[in-house]
Amino acid sequence: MMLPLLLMVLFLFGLLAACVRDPSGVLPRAIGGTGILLAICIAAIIAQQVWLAPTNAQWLLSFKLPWISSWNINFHLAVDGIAFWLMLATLLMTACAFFVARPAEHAGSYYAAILWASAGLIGLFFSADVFLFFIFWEVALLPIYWMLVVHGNSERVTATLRFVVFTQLSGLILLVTTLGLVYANFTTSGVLTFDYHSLIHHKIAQPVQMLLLLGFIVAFLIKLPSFGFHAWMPSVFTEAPAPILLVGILVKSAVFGLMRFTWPLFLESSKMVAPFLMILGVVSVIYGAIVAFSQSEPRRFLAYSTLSHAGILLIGVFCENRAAYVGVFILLLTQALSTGGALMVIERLFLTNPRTELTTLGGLWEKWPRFSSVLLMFLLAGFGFPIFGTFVGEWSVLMGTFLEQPVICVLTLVGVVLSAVYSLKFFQRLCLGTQNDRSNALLARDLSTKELSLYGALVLMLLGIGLYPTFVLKHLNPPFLVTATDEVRDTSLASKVVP
Amino acid sequence: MTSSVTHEIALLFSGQLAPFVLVIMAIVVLIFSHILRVSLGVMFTLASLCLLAAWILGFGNAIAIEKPFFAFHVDMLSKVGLKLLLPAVFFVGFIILQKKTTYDKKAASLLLLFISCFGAIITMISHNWMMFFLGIQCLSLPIYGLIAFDTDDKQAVSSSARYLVLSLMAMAFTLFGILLLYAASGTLDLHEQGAMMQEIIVRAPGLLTLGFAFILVGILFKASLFPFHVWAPEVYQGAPLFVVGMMVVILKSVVLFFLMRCFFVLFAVDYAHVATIISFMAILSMWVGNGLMLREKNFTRLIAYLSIGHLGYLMIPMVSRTSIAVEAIFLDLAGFGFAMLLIIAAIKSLPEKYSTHATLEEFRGLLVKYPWQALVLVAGFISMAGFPLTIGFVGKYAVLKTGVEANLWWLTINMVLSSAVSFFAIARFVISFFDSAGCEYSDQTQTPVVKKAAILGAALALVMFGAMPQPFIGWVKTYASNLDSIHYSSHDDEKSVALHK
Repeated sequence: MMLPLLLMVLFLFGLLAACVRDPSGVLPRAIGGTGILLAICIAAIIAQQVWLAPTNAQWLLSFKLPWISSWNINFHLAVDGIAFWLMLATLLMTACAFFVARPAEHAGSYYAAILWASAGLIGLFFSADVFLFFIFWEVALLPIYWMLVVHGNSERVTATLRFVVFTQLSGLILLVTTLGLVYANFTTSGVLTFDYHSLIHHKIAQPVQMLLLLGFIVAFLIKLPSFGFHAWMPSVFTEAPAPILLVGILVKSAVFGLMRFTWPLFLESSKMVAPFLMILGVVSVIYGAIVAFSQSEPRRFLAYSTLSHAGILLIGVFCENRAAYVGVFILLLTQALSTGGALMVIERLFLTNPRTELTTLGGLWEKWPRFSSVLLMFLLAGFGFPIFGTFVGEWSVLMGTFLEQPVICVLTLVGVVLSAVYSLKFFQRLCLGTQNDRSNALLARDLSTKELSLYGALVLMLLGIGLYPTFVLKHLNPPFLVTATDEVRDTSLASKVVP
Repeated sequence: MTSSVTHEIALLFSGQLAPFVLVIMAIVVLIFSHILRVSLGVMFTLASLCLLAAWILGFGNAIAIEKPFFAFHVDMLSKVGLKLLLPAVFFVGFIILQKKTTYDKKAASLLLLFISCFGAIITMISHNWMMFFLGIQCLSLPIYGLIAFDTDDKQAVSSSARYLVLSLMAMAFTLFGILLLYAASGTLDLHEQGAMMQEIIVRAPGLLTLGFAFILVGILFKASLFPFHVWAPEVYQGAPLFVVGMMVVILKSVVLFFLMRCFFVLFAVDYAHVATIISFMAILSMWVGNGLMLREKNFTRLIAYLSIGHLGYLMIPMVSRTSIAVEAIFLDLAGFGFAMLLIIAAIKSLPEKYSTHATLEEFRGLLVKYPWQALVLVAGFISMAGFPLTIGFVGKYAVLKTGVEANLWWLTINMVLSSAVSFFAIARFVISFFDSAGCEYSDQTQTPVVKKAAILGAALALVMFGAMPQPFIGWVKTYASNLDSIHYSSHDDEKSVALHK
């Protein structure tokens, strides 16, 4: 019951905020803020219920209503271990996005878009019906399009068009693949169902199975994005307004899709394509790192570093190893926090001039000490500095990869080292050295205490996951069969991962 | 003789042909109220009441009329088609009322619209080639007139003339085709021809193929499927927008429903060749329509290409022969028609320069200049593009579903790829509404609150149907999924069995 209530609260308060007429923007902000607070309260109740649920249940919580009964489609929301934590991360990021949102006009629809995007993404993580998954996949995008095209920077129209085309292509492929899966299952089993857990037990034969798997993979890779599908990303990062850090979650939803729709559904075919996808992941890691190194626009830098991080996620998902899988899950949570935090902090550079380049900046440490230290924290977390949660995730992924594919692991390690190099280089150019004359153009102030405490809280969470990761792993059930060797690896891993 | 006439009169008043009678009544009402100079609102309300009665009564509960009345049979297709047709007629009438012109011209336009509607009903219930021919002419003759009826635009006259000449030529092909089929079978009745199909295939395959090919020329010309689409952009460009609405919603749907009947009744036996040819045309139609949208700069022509591409998708259920085909066609046509008429209504409530010869460039920054109309247009266009939570998505999904169910993978893949192209074209257009550089709020249109509420309400309905499609789909299913009700008066039970497969 709490699951639909959460979505309803976000949706209705968004609607209310959009309908209120108040040019000063105070009233919509108050309404939106109340909505988010209420949503967090509901999330707390959900957390309590999830905590008490038995670990081996099919779903920890579930809510089902018939929706389009003629086509056998249900409005089925359900939570498992991954969905639960991603929901919390989404709510957290929504609150942050709301906090940094500073609309110049159309304030109501702006706050509404934030709340609706959040509702769409949470719905995506909750959906236990593949049709519903597709619907939320598309619906979560609509408010983001709106934010981008109404509130973006000067090149927003081109950026939006590119984003729309890529994401819709991905959506179309997902739609056809979903339909194909359902009907292929129908022809083999005689049951027309969109229910995720019923579809898991399908008996679809080989060529079709492989095609369906490839369909899902392409749809998710476009949104991830991996190397080759990333053309939309830099322009969205540069043109979008601050709350676009929700894109961080959007990207994670693609990984969530990969975790849901590859191994559990198509074990055999996934085994066949996994090496290629791991290679693609390595290419993404290294390509992203190299391109990020040469970026002079801070947001483009973050875009390429996100691409590089997404490569690690791709490797982790496809290396068919429990340790790597757990690592991917931890990375999902922690990267959302670190990339989102970095995007929020970086936004300060553009308050007075939306076209600031790295070449005109330098020596910010003296001028903005709080800004620089917070940014440093997020950058460190970004490349997986020990004691941050990202370190645990990356280490776990690399460990798992080393057990399965040592060569891939070594190549990824090169990428990880590069990522440390480009992050520190970026920090050096921005904050260290002598104060650049032209950087005096930055008239904005340093972070306020309020902002500092928000970012501090994010950093603390990153540290918390880094120090005690088992806390978030309670309900995680990797889809791989537990074999004897796995058990051995697992226990040996667990002793190393958990300090 | 006498008994047969009494039977027919009894039939007329027994309610089974109620829509037929009620639309004639509406026409009479329109003529008389025009003579008495009753105000337009009252006139339209009375005529709409007739339509409403016709919509509710439908063709009665009887599955089919036992003894045909002037070769009219009622089957499931005509029942479903009628439910689609009458609201569209009402909607177009509503748009006519918005026109800024004299009383006489509006009244005459309404009258022509209803005559067209009468022709549409004849086409929908005819099971005889001659009746079909009469019906479709009665449907399209008012359109030739309406294109050039109320305008000083030279292009409208040339549009009308072009459409008249081309359309009559195409219909001449159809007439010749009908004759060839008659030569092959000795009858004009669709059921009798269908029953003889096995025999005709053996005896006169050439006549059959040629005849049906000629017939398709006219039918597909009216619907504007590739390669008979060339006229559409040219004609639409010169025509007033509500006539464009009539052509892409009413004419297209009626023709499609008749084509479907041809396939179900006539080609219950031999089907594969026709299906192959239609599939090729459909694929090309998708690509030509959606592809040319990319380069189009004129708004009305964009609509034309959108319609051509959409027609390609509709051919998937047409050739699929699954039991859900009728349902899919209905859902998709309803979604398309609803969105299209909504777009036209929204454009009509913008200043005049947006309705005729508008370039896409003029729509740039529309959201700032005319906010609520722009939002309605956005809703209409994303529904056309098939975005989830709109009625257009429900239709597109139903079509895709028939394609997947019937294993028509080539058609389905082409549909997906080409609709990605159309999505790009539509997205580019819609996103330009948001490009606000150098635009400011300038809404001087003073739309009456009622009209504004009606249009906004329709836009909301478009989203509501998309989000909660179950009642709508369930309602369509009660009409469409029961294929038993394709009932043929001749003794061909095995045919309706074949339809189930």
